[in-house]
Amino acid sequence: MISSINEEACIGCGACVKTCALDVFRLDTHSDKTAPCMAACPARNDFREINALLQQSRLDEALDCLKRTMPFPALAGEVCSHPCEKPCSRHRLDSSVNIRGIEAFLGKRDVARSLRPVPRRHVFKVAVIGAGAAGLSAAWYLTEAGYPVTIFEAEAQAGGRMRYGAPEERADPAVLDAYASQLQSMGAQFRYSCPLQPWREHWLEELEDLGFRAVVLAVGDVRGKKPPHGLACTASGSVRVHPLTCQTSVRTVFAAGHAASDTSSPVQAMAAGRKAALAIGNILQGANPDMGMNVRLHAVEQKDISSLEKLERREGGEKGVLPLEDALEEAVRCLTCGSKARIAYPDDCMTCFACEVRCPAGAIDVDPFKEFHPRHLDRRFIGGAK
Amino acid sequence: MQAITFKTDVLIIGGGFAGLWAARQASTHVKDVLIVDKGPRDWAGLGGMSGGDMITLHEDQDIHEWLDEVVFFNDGLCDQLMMLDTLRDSLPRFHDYEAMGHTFSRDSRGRYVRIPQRGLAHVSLTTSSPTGKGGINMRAALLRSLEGCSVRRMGNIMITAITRNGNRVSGAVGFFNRSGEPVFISAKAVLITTGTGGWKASYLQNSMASGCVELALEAGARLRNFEFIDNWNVPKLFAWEGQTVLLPLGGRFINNRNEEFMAERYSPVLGSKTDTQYNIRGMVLEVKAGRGPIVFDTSRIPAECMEEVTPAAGWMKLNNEKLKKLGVDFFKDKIEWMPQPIASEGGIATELDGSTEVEGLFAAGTAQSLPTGVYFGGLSICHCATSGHKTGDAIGRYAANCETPFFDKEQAQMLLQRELCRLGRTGIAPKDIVRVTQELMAPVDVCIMKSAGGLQRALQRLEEVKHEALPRMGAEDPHYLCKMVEARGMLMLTEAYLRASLERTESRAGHFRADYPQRDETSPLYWVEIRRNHGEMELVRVPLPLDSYPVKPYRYYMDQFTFPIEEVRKFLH
Amino acid sequence: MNDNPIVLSTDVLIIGGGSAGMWTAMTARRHVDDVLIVDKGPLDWGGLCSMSDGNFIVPHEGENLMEWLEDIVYYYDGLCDQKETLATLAKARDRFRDYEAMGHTFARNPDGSYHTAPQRGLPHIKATTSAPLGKGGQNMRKELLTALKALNVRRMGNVMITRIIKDGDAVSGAVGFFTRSGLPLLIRARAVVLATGIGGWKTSYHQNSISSGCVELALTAGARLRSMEFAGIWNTPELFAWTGQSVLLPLGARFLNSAGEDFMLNRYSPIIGSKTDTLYNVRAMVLETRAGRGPITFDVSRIPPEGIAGRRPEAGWVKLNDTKLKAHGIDFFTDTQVWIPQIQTSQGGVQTDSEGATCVPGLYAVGTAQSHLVGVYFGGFSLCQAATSGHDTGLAAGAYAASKPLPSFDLAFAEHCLDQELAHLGKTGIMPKDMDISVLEVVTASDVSIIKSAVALNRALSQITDIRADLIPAMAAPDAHYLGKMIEARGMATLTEAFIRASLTRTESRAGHFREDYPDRDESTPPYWVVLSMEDGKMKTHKEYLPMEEYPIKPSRFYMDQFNWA
Repeated sequence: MISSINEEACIGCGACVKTCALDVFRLDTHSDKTAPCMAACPARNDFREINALLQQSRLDEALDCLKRTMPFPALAGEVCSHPCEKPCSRHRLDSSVNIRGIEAFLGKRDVARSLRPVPRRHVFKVAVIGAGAAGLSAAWYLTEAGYPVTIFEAEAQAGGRMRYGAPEERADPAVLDAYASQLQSMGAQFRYSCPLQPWREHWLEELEDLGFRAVVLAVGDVRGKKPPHGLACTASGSVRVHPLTCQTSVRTVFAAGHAASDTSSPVQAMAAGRKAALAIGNILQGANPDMGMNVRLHAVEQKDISSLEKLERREGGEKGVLPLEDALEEAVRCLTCGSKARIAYPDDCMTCFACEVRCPAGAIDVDPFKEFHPRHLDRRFIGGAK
Repeated sequence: MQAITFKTDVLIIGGGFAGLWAARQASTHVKDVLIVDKGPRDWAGLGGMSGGDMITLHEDQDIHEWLDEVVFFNDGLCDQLMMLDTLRDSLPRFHDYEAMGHTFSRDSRGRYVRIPQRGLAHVSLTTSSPTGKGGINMRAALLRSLEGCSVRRMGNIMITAITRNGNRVSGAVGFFNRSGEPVFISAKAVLITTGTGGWKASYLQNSMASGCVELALEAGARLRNFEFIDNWNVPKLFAWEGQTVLLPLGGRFINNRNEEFMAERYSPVLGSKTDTQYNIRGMVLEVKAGRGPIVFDTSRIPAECMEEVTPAAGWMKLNNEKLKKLGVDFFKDKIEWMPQPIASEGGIATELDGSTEVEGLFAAGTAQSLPTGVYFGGLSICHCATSGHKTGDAIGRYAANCETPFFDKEQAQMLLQRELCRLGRTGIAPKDIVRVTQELMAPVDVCIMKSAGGLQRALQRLEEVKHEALPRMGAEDPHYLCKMVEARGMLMLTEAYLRASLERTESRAGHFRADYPQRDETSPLYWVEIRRNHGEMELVRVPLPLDSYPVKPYRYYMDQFTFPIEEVRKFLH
Repeated sequence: MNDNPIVLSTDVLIIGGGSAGMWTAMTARRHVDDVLIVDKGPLDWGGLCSMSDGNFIVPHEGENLMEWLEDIVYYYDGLCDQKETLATLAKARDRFRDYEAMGHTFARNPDGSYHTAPQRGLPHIKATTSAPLGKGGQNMRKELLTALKALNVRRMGNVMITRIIKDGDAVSGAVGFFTRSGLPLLIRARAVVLATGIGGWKTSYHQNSISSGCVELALTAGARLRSMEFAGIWNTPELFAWTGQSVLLPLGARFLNSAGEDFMLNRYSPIIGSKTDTLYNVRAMVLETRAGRGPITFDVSRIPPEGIAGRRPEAGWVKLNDTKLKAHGIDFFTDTQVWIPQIQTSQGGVQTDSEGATCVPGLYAVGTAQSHLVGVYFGGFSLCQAATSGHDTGLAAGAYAASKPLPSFDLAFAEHCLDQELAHLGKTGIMPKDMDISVLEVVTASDVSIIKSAVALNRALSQITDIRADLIPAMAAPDAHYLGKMIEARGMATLTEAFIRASLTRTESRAGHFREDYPDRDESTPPYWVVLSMEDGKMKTHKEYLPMEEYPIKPSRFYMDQFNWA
């Protein structure tokens, strides 16, 4: 019978979970240490948890997990360069996990979801200026948290540089439309062709008079333009913000994306939009803006994995989107660095030692004695039953 | 609904000092007393966080001189009979505390340390020893004294309604606020010792209180004195205890011209060594006149006193160290202060023995109303002991001599279902309602220099919130269900405050109306009382029975202050 | 339905990703583009094949197939589907070469000829072994998998199929769920292949216990089962697992009773002693114990030291096992171990034609989901038969699927069928393990599964009826994992009922089936199969005579006649 797992020795590669035919094991992915992919991701997407969930075919939960840090996976599948794949531990065994393909797979499910209005949880309204990557992201998280959100966009459609930028910056307009309409059906309000002109003297007072308690400024690059009135700027002309919270020199105004950074990729902008949304949630609930946001990163990578089976990387189909079975197969390649295996269902262990033989860390102990009840039964077996 | 059902002789809602005193006394008459508290078991309420200072009328002091002064301090608006009871019983309760093992401070010659209040000659409090441990020790002493008494105590239970059988209470319903498990309690008599509630301003743990406004009104009791609130002034950014000590040592409130505005302009007799209510009125006028912000200046405190006033223990030491790390030095920097409404000083109108006009329903401690908006250090500790003791005795006797009334489970279910049906639903968060309520209380013309315009405007906003936000509230778990009931209670409390403040068309004690800055000398002294009438609050003026009171008001504390009419009028627009 | 179900469509759906399923997928792809394998175990684990040694029954060049068949008919006591067996033997060499072409290595003698191991004292039947030792099954799995990936065969693990869906008489797909999430899965398919094995009783013997097989799937779909009265019964040390008795017995190891007698040689098996099929040894163990001469021990003292030196396990799980046992103070080679019989898997199967087709259009069965054994063990035959039947069934199912339009798949009905299973999810009830043990208690009685009698079988039938009436409705699954286990446990109860009913129907003793009340062959009728079907929710059995007139060999000698049970 399965006896124990040495938690210290376990490297969380999931070899036991992936091969036990009796399904005795599960992984715990929550750890104060991050996997190398997570540390390299500008949005800190928890691909360890996502892949562990996909290894259990928990598709919706995997998507929900991704959405906690990446509001628009279908866009990220397109516009992100996926620096996460570079430090992947699997790289040293065969090739890195196709995180892009998995993200695109989840993204495809994501845009196909129909969303219901989010129940309103808060009284106080928040204004988001600009419907680019940063603005849409902030709007997404605020709306999801139950805040009434209004997005003011100067152009006629949402997307910012992802729609109106240089050709290499652009994403599929159909996906942008899908996300904008999801946001709308969740309850966010869009005001298109409505430039707020934040360089005007009273723009903040006007928003306040309209009942807005916090503002996300996500208007794109402001360098070389008229600076936003009332906000401190850096030497280069971007809005000066707190790196953790995106808070500007005005307590209730947050700036994200290119507006607050000289360089900003769409995924960095989405990450900043999310931070601004969390910080706004904090201050509107009476907390400090950075409550719960100061996360230490300590990445662990897998070392002793040479004994594991080599598995070919699945490449994506159309637009890099992995089909269902390929996504599930690719997720199995993930070595879930930093997690820990546990004995979840000991009652079906058949004492085959396969887990112990395959464990690259020598962390598993199987007792050679079989489970008790067949022995008991076999005594009756000999004597004949009544 | 499968409710956990308790049966008891006397149910006490609230496990603070008043509740503990009452339980101790009631248990001498009946077989079973049950205390339920929405906080942790035996946390013992606000008393446990107090300094343990207690108003005590010692043998060498004259009760009539004291009463005379209290009537003066309250500008005549004093329930003299209840105050006399409180003062008379204070010494026996003081001795009871000593018998329980509590220590009060004595000076080097063995005399109790008494500290006079607010420039009053007679009324003084007796302090506990050692400093900073008084409330903690009193709590421990009270809990010790309950050993061997037939008193059961339970925490984390939120009571949401009192059940009735005709005009007689039959118990209460509620839920465990960490599990949502429904609770039915059948009781012969119910005692409310919850306090009246407040606005959850960050001021130590007292923010927990949401009080009894809903409970009492729905049960049919009358409320009184809701126009009076405890306004405190505090540093804008953080908490600081001890202005009462710092002011006599040389601490001063000064405006941006470095003027000690209280002494110079509004309080020629006492300066800023007066009740906070008067200081904040001065602060408001200064700011309105463009002489803000108001800062607390400690530069004149003599160096030899600094050690005494620098926090050396407990949360205050932590607080001071953390502030210093953030670059804030309380004693060197000019720290901006501002007023903040803390708690209501209204309460349930009771007889002297704590009984209400609802049979079997009693109230004690700060759930009764004794003060009228001016602060009396040590009065709450004293009154919780005296009224807890007295009411406990009365309710115990009452319960010992009656049968257990029929507890209607259907009625109980209906009452509780109203609340539990919100459980697991997503909706407006309690914190948002708390903030909305705080915001509608915050304007100066609502909470300090009140005016009909400001109060009406706040009332209108409150009605909007009641009709738009309240029905959309949700509680994702039992914790939030408890907070939801509290938030709704706070809104009701605010409504009571606004309506009562509109009703009192004069200024007196802690109540100041910019549109009626004087006492109303044309009509006899009255209480503003609130009762429920067809689901609405009905307000009534009830004359004080001055004929039965020993002191006929002849002098008024408020007359020591001058708040220029033309300045005050600015708050009318 | 709680979650939005995953809806998939494919040409050929193969249930079970062992070697039979993988072979089927390979050849089905010659006719259709889309082949989908689902397996309730982990993705690509490869079924029991991956745990085998890779020994393969194959008549090599120059060998006489009729001599092989002669031996088999003798070993099976005449109960042999000669046409089918001959076809299997004839095709075995092609599949053997296919394996070599995929890169598999079979062991060779120093002279370059294939290394073979003879079986059970039968001169003509020899399994060819894989090289290196102990890696054969794992290598076969990898080779098959590589071939499947090259063919773009879709594969999914952790999927439990609960019901075959039909469009009229013909198959139109299947429903199931993901066993780690409960996510519902609806699969429309032109043809469905059962490659699950037929199931067993989850006794501890390596990983094979995963099998719950396809008894319920096949019966509810309308297919018929055959030979359900036969089961594989093994003997093992009482406390732990040990493989290798077939090697140790020839070296001098013996089973002894409490009196120290070599009871097989002395009493029951005068000709070959205990060097025979386990089934006969087990029968004797039961009789010895009933006569008060138990327990039975395995004696290795007569193995010469140089024999033991070579048999000490040196790698893999067997080495771990040996090391750990020694740490517990148990030395297999110096201590005397108590051995017991253990019922393992059914040897029945779904009745098919030579191309794997069942009586339900579009429904196929391959590998050990078909029935080819009759209770006596035939090392290397399963791997061979999985390859040959997989190969041919794949071609047939592929051709069938290519010739048919996409069947209509009633989504609402499919969801309804699945909902009935998913309704157990998240509820508390009797746990699968308790069900397993209850069923085991019924079937492990020696008078039910080894020395059977009508009295005992009827008693067992009433016990299993009670279990089905009382326990099954009270079962529930706290999570998706347990829902899978619950369905397996229920399948085990159904399998047991089929085993008992078929055992009652065969009123004779023959090959692996021994009836105390009918200890001899029934010579009054021609040999027959017991066929089992489901009618109105009840199992029915009937006898089907073997077409002896079409068979080349008329049975004249019988393996069972070497034993004397008195």
